[in-house]
Formats: sequence, C-alpha cells, structure tokens
Amino acid sequence: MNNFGVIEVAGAKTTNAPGWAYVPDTGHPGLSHQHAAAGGKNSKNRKRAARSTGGPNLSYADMSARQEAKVRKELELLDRDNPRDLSIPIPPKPKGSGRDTAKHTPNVRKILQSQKTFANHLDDWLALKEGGAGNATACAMLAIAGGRKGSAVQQPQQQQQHKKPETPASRGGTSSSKQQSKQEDVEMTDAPDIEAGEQTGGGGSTILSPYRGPLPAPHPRDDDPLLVSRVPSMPADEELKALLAAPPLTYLEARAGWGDEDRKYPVRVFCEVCGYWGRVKCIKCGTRVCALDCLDTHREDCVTRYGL
Amino acid sequence: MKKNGAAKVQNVAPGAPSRTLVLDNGAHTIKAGYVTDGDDDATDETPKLIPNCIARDADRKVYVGQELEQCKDFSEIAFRRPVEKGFIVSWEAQKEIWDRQFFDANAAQPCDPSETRLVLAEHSNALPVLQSHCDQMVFEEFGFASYYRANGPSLNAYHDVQAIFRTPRDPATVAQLPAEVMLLIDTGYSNTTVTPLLQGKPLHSAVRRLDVGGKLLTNYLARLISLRHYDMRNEPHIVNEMKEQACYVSLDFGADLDRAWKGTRGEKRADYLAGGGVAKEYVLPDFHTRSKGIVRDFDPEQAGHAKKLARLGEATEDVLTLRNERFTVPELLFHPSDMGMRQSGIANLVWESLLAVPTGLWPALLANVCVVGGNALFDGFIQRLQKEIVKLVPDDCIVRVARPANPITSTWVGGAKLAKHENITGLCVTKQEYEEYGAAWVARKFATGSDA
Repeated sequence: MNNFGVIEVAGAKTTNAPGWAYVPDTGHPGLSHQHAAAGGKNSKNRKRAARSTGGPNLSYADMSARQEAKVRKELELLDRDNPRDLSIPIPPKPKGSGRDTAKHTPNVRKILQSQKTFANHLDDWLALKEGGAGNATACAMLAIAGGRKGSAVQQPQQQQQHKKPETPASRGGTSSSKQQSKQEDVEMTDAPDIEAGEQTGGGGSTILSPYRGPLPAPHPRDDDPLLVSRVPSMPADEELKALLAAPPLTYLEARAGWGDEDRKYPVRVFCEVCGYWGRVKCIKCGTRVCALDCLDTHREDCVTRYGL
Repeated sequence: MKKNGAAKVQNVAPGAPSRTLVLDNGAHTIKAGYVTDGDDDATDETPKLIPNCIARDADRKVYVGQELEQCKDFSEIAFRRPVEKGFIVSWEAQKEIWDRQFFDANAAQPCDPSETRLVLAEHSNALPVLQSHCDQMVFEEFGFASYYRANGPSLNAYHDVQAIFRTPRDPATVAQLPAEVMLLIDTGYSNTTVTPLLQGKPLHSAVRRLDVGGKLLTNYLARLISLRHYDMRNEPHIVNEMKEQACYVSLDFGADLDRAWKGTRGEKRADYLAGGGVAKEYVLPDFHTRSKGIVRDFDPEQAGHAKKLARLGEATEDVLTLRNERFTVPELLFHPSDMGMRQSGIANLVWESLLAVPTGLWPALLANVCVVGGNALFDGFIQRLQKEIVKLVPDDCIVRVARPANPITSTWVGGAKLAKHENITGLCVTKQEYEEYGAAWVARKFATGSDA
C-alpha cells in the first residue's frame, strides 16, 4: 500500500488512550484465550481476555463473552415447551372412569410425587457419579436406583473384586464408574446367560452371514486394476462381539461434539433483521446485518436499547 | 412367517400373554396399538396417534391426551408434556394420560395389563434413574404381565429395510428380520440420534445425539416470525402447523438465500418482488371460519392489495409472507451453529458415529441409512442428507438414504413386528421375574440386551 512515503516506525512506548487501542490480533482466538488464562502474551488487559472467550473459528471480535451469554440464554429459551413458566395441574378424574383411588406402593408414590425435571435428574446423576468415584456404596445406589436391597449389598463387593479391562470400543479413556459397574454386571451369575445365548444365536462362527444373492453378470474388464473397487475387510468376530457388548454411553457422552470437521469452515453469520448473510456489523453493538436497509431497522432498536 | 409363528407357540410358556401393547411414547405423540399373536398376515396395522400432553387453552379448559381433538380454539394454548428430552420424567402426568387412554372404564384403547405384554420404546442413553422409575411404574403401578423396554431406534431393524431402499431383488425373497446392518437416524421432537444397528442391536459406543429436534425448530420459527411479523411466541400450536406445512430443506442454501433477499437500500430485486419461487403466503387460522392455516403461493399483486386493505383495517384474514424462514429453520439440523449451538450438524454426526465403528462396516452402514421421525417429512431432507454424507465419506462407499413411507409410526411398526417375532420371548421380563429378582436385575437384563 502506498502510504504517501510515510514510514511507520514502531515505538517502544505505548499510550493508553481512553476508548481505543491497537490490539495485535494473534490469530487463533481459542489459543490466545488459553494464553490469557495462563498469563501469556494477551493477558495484559483482563477485560479484553474475558471478552474474547469466543470459541474456535470465529474472528476475533465475533464472540464476546456478552454475546455468548446471550446465545446461551436464547438456546435455553428455544428448548422450552412453553414460552412462559406455567404449571398445569392434573385435572380431576372423569366420572365413571372406574378408577379407584388405590394405594400405591412406596416406590410408586415417590415417583408420582416427584416434581423433578430432567435437568434435576441429570444434575443428581452427575453429583452421584462424582461422589461415587471413591464411594462404592453410592455407586451401587446409582446402579440400582431404588432397587431391591438384596443385590445392593452384593454389588459393592463385586465391584472391588473384579477389575476388568475396558472394551476397546468404549470411548477412549472417558469411561465412568457407571460403565464399569455395568460391564461387570454382565459377568454376574444371576444375570441372564448372554454369552451362551449369543454363541448359539450368532451361528457360532460369524455374526454377519456372507452374501448369497445373485451376482451381476461378469464383464471382460472386471479385473482391470483401474476399475477395481477397494472394499475394507470385515472386522473379526471378536471385534464385533466387543462392539455389541459395549455398554451404552452416558447421556452426556453421546452428545454430539464440535469436531475437527466442524472447525474446517468458519461459522456462518446471518443478518439479525432479515436472515440474509450477516455482512456488516453494527458499530455500536456488534449485531450482524446484511445491508443498509436492515442496518436502519436495527439502528432504531439499537438506539432505544443503548442510547445514541 | 407362518413357520416362525408356529415355532413361537411351542416356545411360549403356558399362560404367557398373547396380546401385546406396543407403545412408542414420544415426547409429542404417543404411538400405541395392540398386536395379537397368531394373525401373522395383519402386518400393516397402524397405531393410534395420541398427543402426549396435557393442554390448557385460552379459556383455561384442560385437555388430556386424546381429548385435544375436541379442542376448537388453539390460540394461546399451553402444553404440559410428561416427556422431556425423549424420556418420561413426569410420571404424574404420564400416568393420567395412559390411564385415560388405556386403563379407564371408558378408555379408547382398553387394556387389562395383567394379561398384556408391553413393548415400550425408549430413547438411547437414558439416565438409569429414569429407567428404573419406568420399570417400577410398569410393574408396581400398572402391573403388566410381561414387559420389554426396547431401544427405540433398534426397533426399526424389524422392517423389511431393503423394501424401503427399493433394492432390486427377487420378489420372492423373504426379508430377513431383523435387518443385518443399517444406520438409523431418528429425528424427533426432542432431539436427533444416529444409531448403527447390527442384527437389530444398537452399537452403543457409536450412538450420537444432536440436541436439535422438532420442538427447537418450532420455537426458532416462532422467534423469527415474532421478530419480523407478529408476536407468535405464545402460539406453539399454530407455529408448529406452519412449520409442518411450509418449511423445507434447501438443496442449495446459498442460492435460495439469495433469491429470498430483499436487497440493499432502494434496490428492487426481481426475485424478491416476484417471490423467486421461495416466498409463500401463510394465512393464519382465526378459529372461527378457519381452524387450520393455509399455505398459498405468493402473489405480488394481491400482496400489495392486501397491504392496502390491512392499512384501512378491512382485511378479512391475517397473512404472513414467509421467505427465508421456510428453509433457514430446518437448516438448523444441518448447521446448529447457525443459531450459536456448538454441535455438529446431522451429517457430521453420522461421520462421528462412523469413526467409532470399524471401517469394515462402513460400506454396509452407508448403503443403508434410514431416517425416521417427524423431521424426516420435510421436503428435500433425504436428498440433502444424502448429498452431505456423500461429501464426507470415502468415494468408494455407496450412500443410500431413505425414509419409510410413514417415518412417524415407523418405530411403532417395527415394534409391532418384533412383538410377533420369536425374539420377543427371550427379551421380555415377566412380572414374576421382577418380583423374584428385583428391579436391578431387570435393569441389567435390558441393558445387556440379551437376545434369543
């Protein structure tokens, strides 16, 4: 760029002018955030570090902590059944329903009276799991969750005796105490006899039977090395058996992650007014809009919220 | 089929129930119906769809489950749903709905639990607490004679899967049940899961879940409309209908977005003015003359005329013009990051799931991708998903994506076929067994998925 002959010389002195400053954009915001947390190169300005918690692949200014909190709140709203909090009580039983107000067993009464939401149950379960790592009794409680006492007493002993190796198929290294307890359960004597059943059911040798249907007509160029398709070999029976026997993942483990494949492309941003690509940002609040028309619409909103 | 039936009769212990209640207890609708042993020919049963909610309308009248059909005015209706994230959480409400549907004296689908077997589909990766609640309620409160808590996605393996894919084959071939290998995508009301199935059993370590489902899409559409047109946040029912009727999955997102764009200031884009093939008008229901919304083509002249009428206060109908809302909403299934959610889209979810299984299974799984659940009904969903998966996987793999004729009841139909299959006897737990061995034993049996 032609700077009209003026050459900028980097000075050692930095001025802290109020309101604005040059900030070196060190590229990967996720990394720079980690550095900031560890007292790295971007840690000078704590406020800025706090604001730049945006994840990978967003440009530096795309996600401030404030915006992220907003997104989180909106996602929570989107996940609700009703926009407002409300409680709809169970209506009284219809006449002639033939239902007697029968006694419930204690277990059932407890379940019916429970006002817990799914989030409560999830938190409970996480807490149990955390606490249960060193506490076998809690683990057993978790596994049977209100079951009969007989097996509850047996289970902790079982857990301490067996230390089975993990199946290779379970997610690398993140296996929980819950999973272990479940796996060991397979070996318990009073459980249904699975291994025997699988051997007979799977035909003894193979789980997947070979293809026996009609084959396409042979072609003179079938053996052409350029046309041969590569088919990976089938996994061995042991591998398949281990896969089938793998315990279910926990609720949180099964959740989709934000993988490398997603990181490949930048996150798309949209105009918050009309939904077209968000090509411009409002100077005041950073909201994305597409063009001048939408920017004007947004300004009205922006001014009432933040003032001129 | 006949042979299996005959073999089963011999297997069944005397006194085993011959009637099975198959129940796919979805968060939005319950799919329920009975299957009787013996009549093997009736394979085309359809379940009853029951709204799984307790609803309260603007007049504070309360409807439970099936009674919602009597509701005339859905404006400002509020729902209480016993199922959260696919799992039965509020048994108080669920019991009331089940009671009125199955167990009351004048129930619509009467049932004597002590002589009935229950096949209940549940979501993958449930919390153990909720599973044990479910077992206890089934045996201690309702008292079913025998019970199988099945993994919902895996029930779909009991379809004739190759018929869904229209695989060319000898018409005399008898379908092998369960299907040997398939990749099942269940995209329902609460979330979307990917489950590889081998011999009808899920490969648990490769099950992945995306927290985007029909509910979130409806809420997102409600938010967009509230921003751009009227405040519809309190109208979940109307918005849901609008979503079902008007939304589609775009095959070329960028191009569609361009066609629906108004343009910058003063620009008069021809596509925008003429609708560009994207814009549709949605006539809102008023619940007097019109109980359901109507989608109609966008007509620029009439739109101008209607605007004039509205200004004068003489409009007879409330009309919304839907443009990019029609495809940006289902787009969330493919790009959840569009609304800031840090999760992979559905195609990447398939990829993540594939990475957890041996490469040798990939060709088979990818050639049998089956999509069930209400979201599969969006136009273009199957084609788009196929396109996205092809982009991700090795070129040598043939990718086939299909949906059954009715993706909503597909899991139920699979369950009904399982109920007639000989496998079922080995899978069920009887009430005696529950009383003798306890809840923990039952939980373990279902978790290990022992099979005949």
